[in-house]
Amino acid sequence: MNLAVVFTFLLPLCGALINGFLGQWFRKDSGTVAGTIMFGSFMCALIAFFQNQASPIPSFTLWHWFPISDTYTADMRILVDHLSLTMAVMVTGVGFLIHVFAVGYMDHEAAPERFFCYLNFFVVNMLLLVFSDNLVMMFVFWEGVGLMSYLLIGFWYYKPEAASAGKKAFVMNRVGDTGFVLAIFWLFYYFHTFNILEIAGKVKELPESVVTGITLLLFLAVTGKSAQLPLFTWLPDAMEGPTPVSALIHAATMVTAGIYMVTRNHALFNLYPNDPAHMVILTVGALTALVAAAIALGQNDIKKVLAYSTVSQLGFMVMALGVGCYIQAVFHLLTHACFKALLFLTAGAVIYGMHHEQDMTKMGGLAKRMPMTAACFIIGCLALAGFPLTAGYFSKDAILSAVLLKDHPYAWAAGLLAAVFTGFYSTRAVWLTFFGEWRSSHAPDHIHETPRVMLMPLMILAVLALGAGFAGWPEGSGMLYKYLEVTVKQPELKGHLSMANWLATILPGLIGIALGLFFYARGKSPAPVVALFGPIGNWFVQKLYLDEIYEFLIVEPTKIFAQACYYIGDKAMIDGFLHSWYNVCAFGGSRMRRLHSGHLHATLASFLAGVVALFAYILVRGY
Amino acid sequence: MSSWLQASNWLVMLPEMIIAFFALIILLVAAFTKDSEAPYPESLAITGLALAFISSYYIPEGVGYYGQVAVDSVSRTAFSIAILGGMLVLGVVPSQFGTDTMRSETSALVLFSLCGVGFMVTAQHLIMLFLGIELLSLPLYIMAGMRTRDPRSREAALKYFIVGAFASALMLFGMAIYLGANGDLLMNHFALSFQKNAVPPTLIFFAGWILISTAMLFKLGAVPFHMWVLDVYQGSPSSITAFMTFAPKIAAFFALAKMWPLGSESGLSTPISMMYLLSFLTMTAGNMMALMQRNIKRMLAYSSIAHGGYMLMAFLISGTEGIHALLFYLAVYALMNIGAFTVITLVAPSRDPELSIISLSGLAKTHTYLAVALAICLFSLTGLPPFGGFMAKFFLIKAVLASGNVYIALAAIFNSLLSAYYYLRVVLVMTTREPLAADSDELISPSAGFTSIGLSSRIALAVAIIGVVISGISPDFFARIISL
Amino acid sequence: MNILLFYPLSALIIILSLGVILATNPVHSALLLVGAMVAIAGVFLCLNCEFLAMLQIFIYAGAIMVLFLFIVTTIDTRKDEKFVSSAKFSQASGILLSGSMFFLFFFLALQFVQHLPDTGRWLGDAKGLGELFLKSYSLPFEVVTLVLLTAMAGVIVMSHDPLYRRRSKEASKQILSGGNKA
Repeated sequence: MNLAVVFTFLLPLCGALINGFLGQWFRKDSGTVAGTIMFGSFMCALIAFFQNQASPIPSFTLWHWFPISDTYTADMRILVDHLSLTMAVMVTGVGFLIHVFAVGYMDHEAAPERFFCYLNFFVVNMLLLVFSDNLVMMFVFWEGVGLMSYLLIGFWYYKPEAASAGKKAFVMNRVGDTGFVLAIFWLFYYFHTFNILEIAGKVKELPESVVTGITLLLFLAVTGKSAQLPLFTWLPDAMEGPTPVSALIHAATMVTAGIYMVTRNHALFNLYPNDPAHMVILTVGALTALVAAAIALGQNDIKKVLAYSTVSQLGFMVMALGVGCYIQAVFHLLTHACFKALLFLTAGAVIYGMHHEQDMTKMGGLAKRMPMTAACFIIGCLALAGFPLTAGYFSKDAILSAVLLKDHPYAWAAGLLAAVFTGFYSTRAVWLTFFGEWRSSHAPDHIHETPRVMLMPLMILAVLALGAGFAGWPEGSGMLYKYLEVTVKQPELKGHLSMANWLATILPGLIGIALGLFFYARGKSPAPVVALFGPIGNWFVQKLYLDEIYEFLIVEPTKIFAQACYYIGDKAMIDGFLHSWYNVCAFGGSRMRRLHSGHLHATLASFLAGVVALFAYILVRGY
Repeated sequence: MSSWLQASNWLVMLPEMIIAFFALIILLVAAFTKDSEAPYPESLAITGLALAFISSYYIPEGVGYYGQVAVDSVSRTAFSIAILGGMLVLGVVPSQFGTDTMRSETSALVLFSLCGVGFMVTAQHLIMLFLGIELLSLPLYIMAGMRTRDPRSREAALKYFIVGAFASALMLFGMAIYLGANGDLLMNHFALSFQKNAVPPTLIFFAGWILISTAMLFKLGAVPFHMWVLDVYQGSPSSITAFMTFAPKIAAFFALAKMWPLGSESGLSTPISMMYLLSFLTMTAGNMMALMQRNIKRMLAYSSIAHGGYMLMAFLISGTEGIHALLFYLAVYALMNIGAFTVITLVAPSRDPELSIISLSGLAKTHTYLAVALAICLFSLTGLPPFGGFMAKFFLIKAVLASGNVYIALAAIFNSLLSAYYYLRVVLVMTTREPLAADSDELISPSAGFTSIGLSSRIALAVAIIGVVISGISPDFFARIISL
Repeated sequence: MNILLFYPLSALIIILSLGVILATNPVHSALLLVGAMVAIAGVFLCLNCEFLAMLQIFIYAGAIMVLFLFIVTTIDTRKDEKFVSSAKFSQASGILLSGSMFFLFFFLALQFVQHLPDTGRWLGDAKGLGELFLKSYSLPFEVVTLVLLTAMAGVIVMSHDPLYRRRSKEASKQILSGGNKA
């Protein structure tokens, strides 16, 4: 039992319980309570992190859950190793900062204790997911974070969009989770254990086709949770939730659970690096990165831009998984957590300042009124665009060069194009929000700098967004690589990039930024772009028609498929079976009900009939 | 004197003695105080039960009173489950009876009834078993009719009494036959006759055996001896119904376990197939009928029949595994039912006293905590993880499968599926429907009532819910609590 | 066992019991039951259980049945004359089920004679009973007292009428307060 680790997740649990049951008596301070507790949790995570530097300690059992077979018991076991500790530090650290921010952001809320209860409880689930030693436990908390995400997206449940967005997220995640469950059962069928390390030890016994099947099923779960094609549409909708939720759950932590899950099971994925599953993963990742970045180009809602950018960045991570470079994926996961949390929080600060206005076309010139916020946002966007020496630069560069070194030029090219788009929409978002002219019909007088309680986390995250990349530098042998290599065994990358290739990986971001500046910084409002470029400008304004293409290519077929599934699978088969079973039983029940009139004679008669029947049974059958 | 004490090994009955003693004290205190100033009799009763529970740690195992009773770990665990459940029910009783003067009588009767459970699970002699049944049932008859002004309550009491007397008469008849077949009334003839390679018992023995088992099956509500359950559960005060759902079941199941061959350990196939049929009939009929109910108490009554059917499957398993699964199931089942009926007790005054399911509309809005508690109980009764009901079914069905009875296990699973319909319908009504007009004006904060009169029942409810959750999350820990 | 006495007594018991069920007047029913009890006491006498026979007459025929008759005569029985169920179905099923039960037990009784084990000497006299009660059956003996106590508590509870008591209390209060004023 490692006390620091236990307290890492026990403290948020206490926080959730305190806020949930007693919060109504200290409404105003519920955020402070939650934040303080998260600070404690973060400190515990740090202590655990430094205590277990030298040698990873063996996992320990919290309690036995229930015996599954004679040889295996489903336990609540905590796996402490370098990977889980790294994740725990990230989750609690970013979680703490976002809690602090939320104290300011939610101060007008009528019932903040509910919010902070959910938020704390989410952290508990996320931490236990990270610390899971077996797949059953991981699945339980995988569902747990999904549930909390549902509750938090629908936090303003009286808004119909929020309620339906929550529902959408929940349902789409279930599609992926089916894959997870099937994969778990499949693994259990072979190994009679759910323990991740035990499976990793025995995994060589599996034939290639089975591994491909299992990894594909697991990847289906990833596409749901980590918002990949074709299951990513819930994530933009999830922006209906409060902005701290978007920052914590839908940018920094929960959506990266899929990446973590694959990394945790890397032994399985490592086994046959050239099987079709890896091609699928790589292709899906590259396509997601590209498509989502392209969609982000045309969005006017500041949170939607960030949401699509999250999907796109997750695509980059999945690409890294597809070529077996888990550490690079985790590296990007960590830096992305910092700069995307920063971006969401600054966006939240802007929305807070603008009194819940999210449309960028109605902003402009805010840099003068909230300079610190603007600076933070610009830093975040630079990191996102991969501006050299920011955090995003190192990690994205690591992924792209890994993809190229593994000899996947098309995926690499898609990544480069996505990077160009990223630079472009980042610049566009910065410019539309903070520069140019005030475009709203309201007077901008009421807008001023973000309150300090919200600004502090922003500044800390900004520092991280600038500096966190050095943890993974130099590439392949940096601090993070050294640290994670103990846990994550991945094949080494062979060869080196030529100078031209290296330039090709850093240039796209710069090109994107330059293009963005070229299109937006010259004019005072976005409209002249159309006038200047005619059809091309129109393309940008019309979101590259990607929404329409996407609608036609994916949404409509998906809808048709869903309809088909609904009518054939759900209505005809599942409902048909269940309802006919119900009807049979209900019919039987209604027949029997006549006997149950409550008359005493009926009671006694059935009693006697039972006795006689038992007698007769013995007489007829003998014994 | 000392030789008698030694020979009788009197300490084995210490918990029962403590309970009976406290029951007498309560009656005496009630006799010498005025109604209005009666100290809380429930607290006295709970103290007694707590003492009995603790004392059961220390009493010796073994035979006592010249072979009349025998205490072993199973009977001790079964009894402590009943005691713990009784403590929770006594917590609910005050909010049911309020300022009514019958509270001390109720407490004493609950204690007497628990004594009966103790005698039944330890009985080694049919006379003791019979007296145990009577001591268990008489208080239940009375408590069912506690609301003397309510015709339903009176009807429940009378009906329960008549059918109970009928069952007792049949049992006495069976005992007479048993005496004729074996020469005495010691219960070990059952075990001896059902041993492997024993001389096959005579038909007379079987006649007695059936009549005596029938009385037990009646107590636990097996089909077709189940019809009393409905009216009695519905008519009795809800807190008493909570007690009725588990106390007779615990007693009857473990009395039956002493007289029924477990699994295939006897060479006889008839008892097995008989139990197979009974279990299947009970669970299926219970669930089917529950589907049709519009009244929540009737629905829960049928559900308790169905659960009885699941539990009967334990007799298909040879060895101790089935009995252990049964113990776990009964403990969780007691908690779930106490939770559900406590919510009903607390909700009933402000809602429809008839308690149709529809009257629970919008409970999630008006009484959030109660609605959550009821939902947890219903989820658990359905058998959804991570609640205790899932674990209970899991252990039981796993053991049944291991014993090779695949079809009955499948039937149980299908029945559980079916039960989701009627359990979850209640949850749906609570959450999705608007509160009925009558109580929308008492739309209050979700914590309403935390400080009102029902404090003790809320504590009892909280304990029950925590128990349901803990038994699902950490069954090991839970089993350790209940099995001492 | 005196067979010559046993069969007439058994026949008497059966006839009287049938009378108990079939009589429509509760007083007649009760009286017929007294007769059946006395006949059962006769069977005990045939088995050399004088003490039990005496108890049977004292307690059942004497005390309990007299109580029954008291109650029957104090309540207005004419109101409840529709005592017998008119449902044809339940009557038929009742007859059918009782008939089959009878048949089964008759079948068993034939077996009984063949398999009857030796039950040993039956301690039916007062001395034997006293030894049993105070030694090997001491626990059941005590439990019986609990059962009786419960039944007594039950009578109190069932006959208790909260409204009546409250009303009488209020009445006495009014009288008292009225007296104070005066």
